[in-house]
Amino acid sequence: MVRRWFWIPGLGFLVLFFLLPVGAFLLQSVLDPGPTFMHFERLFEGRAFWVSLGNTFRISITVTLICAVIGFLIALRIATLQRPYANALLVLIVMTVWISLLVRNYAWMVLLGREGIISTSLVALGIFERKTSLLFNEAAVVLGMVHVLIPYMIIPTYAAVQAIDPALLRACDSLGARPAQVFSRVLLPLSLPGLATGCLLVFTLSLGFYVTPAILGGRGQTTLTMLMEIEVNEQLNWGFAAAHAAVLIAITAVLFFAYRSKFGMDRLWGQEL
Amino acid sequence: MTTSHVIELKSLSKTFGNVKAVSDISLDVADGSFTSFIGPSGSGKSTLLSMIAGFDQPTSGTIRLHGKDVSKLPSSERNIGMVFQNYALFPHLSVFENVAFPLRVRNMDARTLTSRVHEALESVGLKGFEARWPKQLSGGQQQRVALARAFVFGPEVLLMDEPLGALDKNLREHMQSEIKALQRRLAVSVIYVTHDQGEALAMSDNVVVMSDGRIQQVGAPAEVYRRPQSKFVAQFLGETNLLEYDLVSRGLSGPIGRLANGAAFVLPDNITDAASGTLSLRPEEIEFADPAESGCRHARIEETVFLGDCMRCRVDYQGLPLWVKLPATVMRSVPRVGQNVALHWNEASLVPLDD
Amino acid sequence: MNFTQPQYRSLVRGPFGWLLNACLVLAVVFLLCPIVIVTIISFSADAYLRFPPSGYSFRWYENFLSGDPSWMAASNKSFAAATLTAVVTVVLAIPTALALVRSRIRGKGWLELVMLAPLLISPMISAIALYGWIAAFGFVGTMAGLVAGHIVLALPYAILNVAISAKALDPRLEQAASSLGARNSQVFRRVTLPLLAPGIIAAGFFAFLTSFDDVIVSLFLSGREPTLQKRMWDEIRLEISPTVASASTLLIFLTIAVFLAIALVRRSSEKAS
Repeated sequence: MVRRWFWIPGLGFLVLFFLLPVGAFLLQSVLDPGPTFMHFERLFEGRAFWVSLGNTFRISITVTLICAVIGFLIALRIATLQRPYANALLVLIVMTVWISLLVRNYAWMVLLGREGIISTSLVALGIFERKTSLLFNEAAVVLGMVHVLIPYMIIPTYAAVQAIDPALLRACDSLGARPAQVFSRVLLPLSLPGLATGCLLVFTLSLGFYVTPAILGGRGQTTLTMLMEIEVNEQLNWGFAAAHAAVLIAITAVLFFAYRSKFGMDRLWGQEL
Repeated sequence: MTTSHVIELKSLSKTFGNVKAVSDISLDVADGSFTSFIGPSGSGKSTLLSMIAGFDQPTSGTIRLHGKDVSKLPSSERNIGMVFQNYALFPHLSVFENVAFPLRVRNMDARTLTSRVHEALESVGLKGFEARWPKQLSGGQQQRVALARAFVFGPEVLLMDEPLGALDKNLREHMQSEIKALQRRLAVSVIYVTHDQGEALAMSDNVVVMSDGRIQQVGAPAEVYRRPQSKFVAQFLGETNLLEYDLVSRGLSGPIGRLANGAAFVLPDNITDAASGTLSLRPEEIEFADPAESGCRHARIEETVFLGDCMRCRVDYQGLPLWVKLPATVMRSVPRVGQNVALHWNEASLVPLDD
Repeated sequence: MNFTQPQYRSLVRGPFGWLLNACLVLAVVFLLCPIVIVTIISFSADAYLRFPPSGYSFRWYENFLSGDPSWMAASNKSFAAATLTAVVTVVLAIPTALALVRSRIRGKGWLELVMLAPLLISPMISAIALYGWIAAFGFVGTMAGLVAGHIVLALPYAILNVAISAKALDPRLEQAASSLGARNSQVFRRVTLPLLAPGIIAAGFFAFLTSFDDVIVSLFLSGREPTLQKRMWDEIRLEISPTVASASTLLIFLTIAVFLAIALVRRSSEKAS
């Protein structure tokens, strides 16, 4: 049973509270206070924008690469485990996604802080002379973000690896391939679509991250979203904030449509609908 | 009114986009009868059933149920029992609740409901299965629950959409006779859709052969099998040899035809006056005769296929390939490939076909 | 004991296997370690963040529960917002998921995109845009505004959850119900809804968590009385007392409880069918 109106509540809500607001906000980049390109001119001429764009990209790329390499190996190992163990691990991983991001970042503050276990053990080992905070730098931000985002890499790559017909591996064995060759010639190519999904998710989520760089990062880790927050909350300059948002959305859209033209939408939902 | 009709279809059509799934079908189904719709997939039989059940709206035409126009009524108000191909048992309800469902939605009081459900389950031989879940039942048992659920509320007609398709051969034959017995006991009209011609012939009072969204022929199973009216029906129901002939003359002993291989023979009286036509000759109507007899048709065995209860032979009848089916009891000696034989058939077994 | 599926055993032998195993073990430690640390430190007796703590006490839980009333006020607000979000999200997600799975209309790909978009676009942009939008209509600081923002974030995942159940629901079951005399409303109540229940319950719980764990929308839309996450955020940015750790620990166990609840629902629905 399905009726035409079934689309209306969900879509209507999203139009009213997502599409129209975002549209109206983006329009302010060229309409605040009147029709103008002033905000974009200021954006592209100012140093702060380019520096934070650089920060955003550098952090996102690092996080995505780390997640891709480690996440793929983890997914591969989980996919080769007997089903009950694999399922238990997946539940554990998915569960960490649902633990508040703020809580998980806060945990890193505790771990990496001046009185944290890493600092105190390094002092005890004689590597540091005195207790030092390991926070507010790029490594801390990358660590915190990998921690939050690696499940988004593991889940789709796991699905891809798991869908590989095990008979192919027996065929590899019978044809004399060593494990590393099986990996590079069969497993990796066949799991590329899953890996691509993971990379798209991790990279686009990284681009829009705010909480982690804001609390684990320092001056050198100011991202586009942080500039936006400041423009809105402190400078009250909506048009300028909207210009930042427009750039961010444009980048996301390019990545998304490139991905969709190559891989379609199904994997992004996790399955065909 | 002589006989009442449970269902009357009048110029019923259904189009999906540009595709005519059902075109201009008119048919009356006698009350209390077992009627099968058969045809290859895509012949429109399932669409027709969907329209009778009320899942699809006809593009044009009307459906009457006991004289009442139900074309515009939703399925829930038609009072029709339906057995689905995959049974469509509710996985979240027990066997009892599945059968009770149509009674619950009719707000029947608890006591009557319980006794009706028990009665229905008993009549399909599932007494004591009330508390089970559908997933715990075998295919045959699920089929019986579906059946009980479809008739427990006393519908005016039972529709069955390939209900035995998922069962293995032995169980299928067993269920065929059970369904037939149940239909007689309940005296309910059944409309049965299948692509299995054997099933249709075995169970029905009437068969409706369909193809391309149209009715090809309607009649009692034996009649439709023995007297097919078209090439399609002759070939779809059982196996047949199609003989194309030219009318040579209308002689004293009856019309004379000539086959493609030049052989002349007497045609049945009821052929049309067209200069040429096609005849159906069932393989089991051909017999092997003694080649020494005069005036017989000489042929040579090209291939033999042993089928257990019978043997199928492909013979070369002077350049014309024919299939012959011999019952095992008739075979005095096993025919060999290459053997010369004489063919014999009764003129009455030649059935002229439209086009 | 062998954890690996037989067909993969040759692959995980040797140095490559060691690498995979190391990645998996490290990942599990990496994902769990911060959570464990936060739990331990929440029982600290110290007045500041220090790991390992010099002593253990319940003082920070006491502070959270009764010492500083702003914590419980924030928790109550979060709880109310999350409950509302869960209810409304589920109500919106059910018809939308059915439409998404079942209808075959042109332009469905674009509708899907609209539904997926809140996941891809930075929540910072959605939050700021909605903030501007409802400010224009005078709703800033209201519960309705906050909940609307949370629903935008929760809806895509809720739709996905219900859609997975809807896809597994054979439309013939509804036809069967209807042929047995059930009116549309009865079909929905007696067949559709019970069969979608596992997806609906999961969607509701996840929507609850999405709202409860959100920082960014709360940053803009929670008004004068902060949500729990906003309250924690302020605390983390300003003073970092271990009260945040006790709040975090409670949040972690809330998440685990929700997961157990979902697992139980799935288990019991699988048993039935």
